[in-house]
Amino acid sequence: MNTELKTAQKLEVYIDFKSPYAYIAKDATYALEAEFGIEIDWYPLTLNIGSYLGTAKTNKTGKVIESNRSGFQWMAVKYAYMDARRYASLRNITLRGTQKIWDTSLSGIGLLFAKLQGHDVLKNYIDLIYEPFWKRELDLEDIKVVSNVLEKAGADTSGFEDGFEAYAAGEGREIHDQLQEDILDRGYFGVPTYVLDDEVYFGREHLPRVRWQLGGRNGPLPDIANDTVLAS
Amino acid sequence: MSGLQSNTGLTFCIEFNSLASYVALSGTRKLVQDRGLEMHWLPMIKETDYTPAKISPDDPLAEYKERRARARRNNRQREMERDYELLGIADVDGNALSEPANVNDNANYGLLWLTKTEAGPEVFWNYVESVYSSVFRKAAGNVSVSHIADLLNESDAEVAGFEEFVGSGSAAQKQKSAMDQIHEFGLFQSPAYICRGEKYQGRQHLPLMHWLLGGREGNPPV
Repeated sequence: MNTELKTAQKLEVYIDFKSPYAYIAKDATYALEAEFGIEIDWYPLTLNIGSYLGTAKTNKTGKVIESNRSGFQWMAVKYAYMDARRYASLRNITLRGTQKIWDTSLSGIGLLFAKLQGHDVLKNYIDLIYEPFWKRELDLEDIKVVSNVLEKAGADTSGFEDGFEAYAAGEGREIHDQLQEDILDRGYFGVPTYVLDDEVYFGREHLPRVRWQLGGRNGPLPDIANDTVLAS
Repeated sequence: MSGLQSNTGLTFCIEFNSLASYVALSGTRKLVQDRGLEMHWLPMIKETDYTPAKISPDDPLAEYKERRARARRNNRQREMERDYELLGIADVDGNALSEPANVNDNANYGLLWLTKTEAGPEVFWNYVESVYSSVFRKAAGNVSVSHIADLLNESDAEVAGFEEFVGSGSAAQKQKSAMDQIHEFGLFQSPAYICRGEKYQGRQHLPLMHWLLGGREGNPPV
């Protein structure tokens, strides 16, 4: 994998495919690469949503059929989806409602696998996962589905005995799970998280600050903002 | 349609012990000025029902939850330092930077009093700025009714009747009613906004409101 950066600053970005906020932030985050001549170092941060927002399942009509959420947790979840959707709609991004809390560890392992293949494969993989997953056309808990996406993204599995499936069951799973422990120890708990030098920024509203820091910290610290950085 | 949803202009919900609400003042004021908005103020209080539950030691995920909660606290601490930097505050009366654990309801009652007496927009801004300054620059957490009356007076507000408003329980009743409306509308964190019937939590949404109210010109916020 080519990890050589074009500037002295290394930007790490942590995502989870089941987070609508990380999805919305994707293109604005990629824009940093072009703007500052950097190559972002992406990592999976697989959220255990049930541990802090409770769990719930809905049927195909959206009716809740199982839930252990408190009133506060429901309010937080409903607000988060509403908020993500309104920003998504401005850019014609589809965010369909979710029927359960997905275990996205497999797609996170896929991200690590794609990283081994280089920047272009990784970028293709991220793009090829997000859009169909949020249209509910992709089952991210199915290893064959993730394998197919890797192939479509241009990943070469010939160097791995039994391909991605063996990687996901062995080395990939170990790296992923250990990474989740390390990530929490470093203090990263949500997505998207941006890490630049020793600064940690949680949430895309910090993109103005990430840009400010990448640009050499000229002027005062900018405020947080979901800002306007992408071409229509 | 709830009362809040039908409000015209901008409804701004704040907590006086929230640094994020304090930092939001300047951007909110700019939005109101740029877009010529009528403004409504609502004081919020942090209620235990709407804060995350304590972690039970019997919970099988207790260790994970504790570690995650620690990460969140550390992140919050850094964010608070950044917020203080935005406000140009290096320390609070010589003490380390922190967020007040609690500010009593009297400051909220002052804000509700201004609404009741139909104070002018500048009076609201003066009052809110003076309370935040007391809380965050002078570490005056719990403020007495008479201190709030002084701040109202300095803000050019009508003061006669304020102490009766608080003492009769009318202010507390209005506060409860405000919180009921806020929760009913699905808001639980400050600063919060209601603009054209839409709800927003956090000042990061100011560019979106600015863009929507300005006729959607240029690229949309991300």
